[in-house]
Amino acid sequence: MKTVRPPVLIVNVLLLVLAGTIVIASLQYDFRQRIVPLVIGIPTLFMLVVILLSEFSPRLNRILAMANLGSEQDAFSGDVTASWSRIFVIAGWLVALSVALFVLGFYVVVPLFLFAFFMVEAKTPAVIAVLASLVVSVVLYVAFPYFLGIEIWPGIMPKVMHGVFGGGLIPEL
Amino acid sequence: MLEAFLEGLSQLGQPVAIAAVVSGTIVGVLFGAIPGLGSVIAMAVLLPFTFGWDAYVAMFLFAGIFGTASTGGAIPAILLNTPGTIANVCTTLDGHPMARRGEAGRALGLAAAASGLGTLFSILVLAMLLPAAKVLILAFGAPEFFWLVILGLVAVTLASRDNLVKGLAAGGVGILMSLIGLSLVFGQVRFALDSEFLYDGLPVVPLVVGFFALSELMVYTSRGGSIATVGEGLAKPGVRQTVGGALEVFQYKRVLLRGSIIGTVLGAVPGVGGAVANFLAYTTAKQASKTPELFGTGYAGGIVASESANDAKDGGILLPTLTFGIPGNVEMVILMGAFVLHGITPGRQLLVYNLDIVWAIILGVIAAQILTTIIVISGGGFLARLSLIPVRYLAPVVAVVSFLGVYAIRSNPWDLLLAVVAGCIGYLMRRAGFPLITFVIGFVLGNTAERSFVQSLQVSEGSYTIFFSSPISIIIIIAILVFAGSPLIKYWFDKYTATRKAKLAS
Amino acid sequence: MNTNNEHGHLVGRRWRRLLFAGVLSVLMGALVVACGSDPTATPVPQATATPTPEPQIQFPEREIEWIVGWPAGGGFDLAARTIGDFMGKELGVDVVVRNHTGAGGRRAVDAVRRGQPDGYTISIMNMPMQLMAEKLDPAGADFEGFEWIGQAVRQENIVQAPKTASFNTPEEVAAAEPRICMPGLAGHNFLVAAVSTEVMGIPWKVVSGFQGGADTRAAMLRGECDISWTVANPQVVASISPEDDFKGLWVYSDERLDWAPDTPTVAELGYPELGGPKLLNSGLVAAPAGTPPEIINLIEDSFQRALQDADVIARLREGGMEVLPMTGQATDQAVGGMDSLLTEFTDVVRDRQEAQ
Repeated sequence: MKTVRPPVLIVNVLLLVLAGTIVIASLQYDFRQRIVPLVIGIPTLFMLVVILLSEFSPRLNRILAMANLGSEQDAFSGDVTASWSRIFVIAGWLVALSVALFVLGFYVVVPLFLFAFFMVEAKTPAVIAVLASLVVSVVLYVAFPYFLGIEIWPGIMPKVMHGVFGGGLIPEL
Repeated sequence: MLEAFLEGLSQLGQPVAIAAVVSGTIVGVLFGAIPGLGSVIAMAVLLPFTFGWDAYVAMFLFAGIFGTASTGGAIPAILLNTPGTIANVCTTLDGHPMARRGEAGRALGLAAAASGLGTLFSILVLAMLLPAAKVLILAFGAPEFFWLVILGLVAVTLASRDNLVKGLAAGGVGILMSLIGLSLVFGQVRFALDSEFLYDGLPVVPLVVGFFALSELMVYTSRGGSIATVGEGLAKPGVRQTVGGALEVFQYKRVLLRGSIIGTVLGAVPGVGGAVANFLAYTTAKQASKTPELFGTGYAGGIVASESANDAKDGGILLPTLTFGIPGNVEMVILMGAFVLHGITPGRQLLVYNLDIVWAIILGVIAAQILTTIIVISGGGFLARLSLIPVRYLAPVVAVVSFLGVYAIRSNPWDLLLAVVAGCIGYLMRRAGFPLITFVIGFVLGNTAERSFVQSLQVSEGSYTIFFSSPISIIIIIAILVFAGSPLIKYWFDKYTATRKAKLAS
Repeated sequence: MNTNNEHGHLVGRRWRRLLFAGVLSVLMGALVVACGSDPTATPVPQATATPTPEPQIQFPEREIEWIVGWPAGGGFDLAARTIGDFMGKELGVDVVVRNHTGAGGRRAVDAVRRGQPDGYTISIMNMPMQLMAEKLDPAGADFEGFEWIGQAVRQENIVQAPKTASFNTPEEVAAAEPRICMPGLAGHNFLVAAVSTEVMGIPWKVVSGFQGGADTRAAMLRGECDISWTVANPQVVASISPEDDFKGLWVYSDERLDWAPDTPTVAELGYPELGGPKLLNSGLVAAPAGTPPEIINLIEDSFQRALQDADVIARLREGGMEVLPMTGQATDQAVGGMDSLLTEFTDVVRDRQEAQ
């Protein structure tokens, strides 16, 4: 017997909320503006609800399996199994990186992140970690802002050095 | 015609022109290979530098860039399971499993050769169709375009047939998400919660980088080791493997031809784009194959279908751009900006007064593509060794480069946070069996479908018969029915008879 | 392309920045090693840094950022880059164009509204369209107090239809009730069409969502729609040439355009209130409110000299844009004129946008 799988529940609820919001919000618009959201949205909501219920009902799950023409884990998802604790750790690194980039900017955060990752995750000796993170950072900085003239986000801190650290204008949300 | 061709050819022979093509190619491959960046950014960044250059030289540079980025995008698709551009998504499906078997070189060879041949095919078609372009452009109105987009969406059904319900649900949510923001056909900002960030809709690059690059990074980093598991008795990736892969392409002539045709045709219709061509070619190849179960397991035919289509779109997309001045995608918008910068008027005047420029671009694309194919094949062995580097060294660099690419697109720091959120959701969706690719195809096509639908009704002043009133519409509708209906009916029928038989036997 | 001198200058400054980044990261790295903790939790030694002194007469000391609200490659982007290039050579620093894409160009307005008034941020706005966008939005910004530098470029408006069309004058158009081709129900062409159809009594029957002017013209040839408002660019100019399939119905400038001598102006047709600069597509340049006057003068002088330069003018012309220098003060007045016209028509535009 199948047990309820938390990721399926979470994703299902999330997609339901997204789709449901659009469908409900579309009701305020006139006919032509809401026809596509409704024509696509209502069947989508229906399918999501069925998938959600099938997690709890083995019978519904069997019916759903009939509709699917192969195994559920198809080529388009690939094999993504990994231990959840490791996934959380890596996701944590990425979240920390993006928030740090947002707050402190690329110039400061990139070498720090590389150094920290090399030290903690890759267990590299400190000297090598420092050197490696500096080399990679310098290569990136030469390639992106210098050669390509691509703007580098300086972070939202008060301005210390223009374009390098602080003083970025946060776009309105 | 011949005179202009020879003029273009002689221009290509100049040392400056060769330098332009070579540097364009290198930039194109590099930008294509970095997730988030692509030929759009490369061309936009380099456009102002071409001020004051000879028009030919500038065109050779741009031809080098836009023709090669999707070949470059195959490199991370194969090595890191991270498509370099959105048009390389399907290359991951077979390219990466191959790389994990230690055959990254073979996959790169296949991709490079398929890309090269796909481009050559489409450029040849372009050259032949140039005189007839007006007829083609005028035949494709709003209703025909609508049906073509529906054909692309129906492919979602087909692609997710192994996982029909979740695939369709994800595709549906993708379509709904694409409706957020300013709709040009309505002139209204819908579903954006009064947010300036969502005014133009959800940005596609942070979404795709999050979904594919960051979620994949979570997978391989959490597993540790290296991308490829090279055991004893398995060949180590090297140049020989790459060359072997490149020659293997000729065993898939039919897949190659089909992919090239799909890429060229879809490329020629403005606004459909490489992602859809890529997806449609892959699913068609899978459906037509005698061994569909091999697709997704590291099957060479899958790579050939995907890469031939996404490169063949380059020839197709030039058709409306050069002949009518209608840019088929953002790269073409920038190419037209380059025309204007160099005093050339894009559009039909181009074929009358600047045919030599047209040939220069065509020859530039051919030269750049041949060069790219050579670069990837000869460098493939070296690149493939990346798959042997422990991921704990690779991952932080990939993460940082992805974020740089995300920010570079429109200089909006909120996109960094969006990318990471998309990465987490993307991972959860994959873990829960919701295919990301159907979501992305829905997202890419959703508002286009709505736009052409409403536009058709505006043209006909409200009459629905417009959708069925042209021969081209009817042909596409028949294609949709055949495409979507036949495999479903066949599979359900087979399943039904199988269960009947089992019942009878018991 | 660049003079050697300028290039050397560029390298010098960039290297300084790189060096800074390198030194900073070594310091930070050492700090982290010493603490041995999570780097993101490490306090950043920003408190010790002193703010850069306010520039007095020493302007400019570093690169000036010119914000463009659209992706690279478009008309106003080209204008900013061409003029910025000239100004950079004059002022001795880089004038870098930053494409802050999004929200229909509103991020460029935002940069002036919220940017620091130190002269290192200027921005180009698409007027009067962006003024309209702010008016239509209940929470929209106003343009009060912007330090206008001048008009970078201007594009003419023309109304075109297939040569086979039976109508020519506004009255004939109103009687024929044609379907109007619109790339989108937002943006400059929409604004001009919305105001004109109201004034001329032309019924609002629209086919929208085309991908730019060329796609619109293709749609007219396919018979999907019949008439189109467009800003003049080289493609448009070519399309109304005798060999091509289109004719010009009227233009919005004060005088007939030299490339369309047969096309009358709106004033000739009896609608002088629509003529003049009010409805022309203008790229206006501004700095944040409160930028010191001496800095504004420096920037404005250099900007105006750029617009006198033959090379700059030639490049902008090739891109289909007219150069009509306007002082900052004149620009300010022009914005006032646009403002009063748009205030009158805000409701009309809103109705047109919502009517399908």
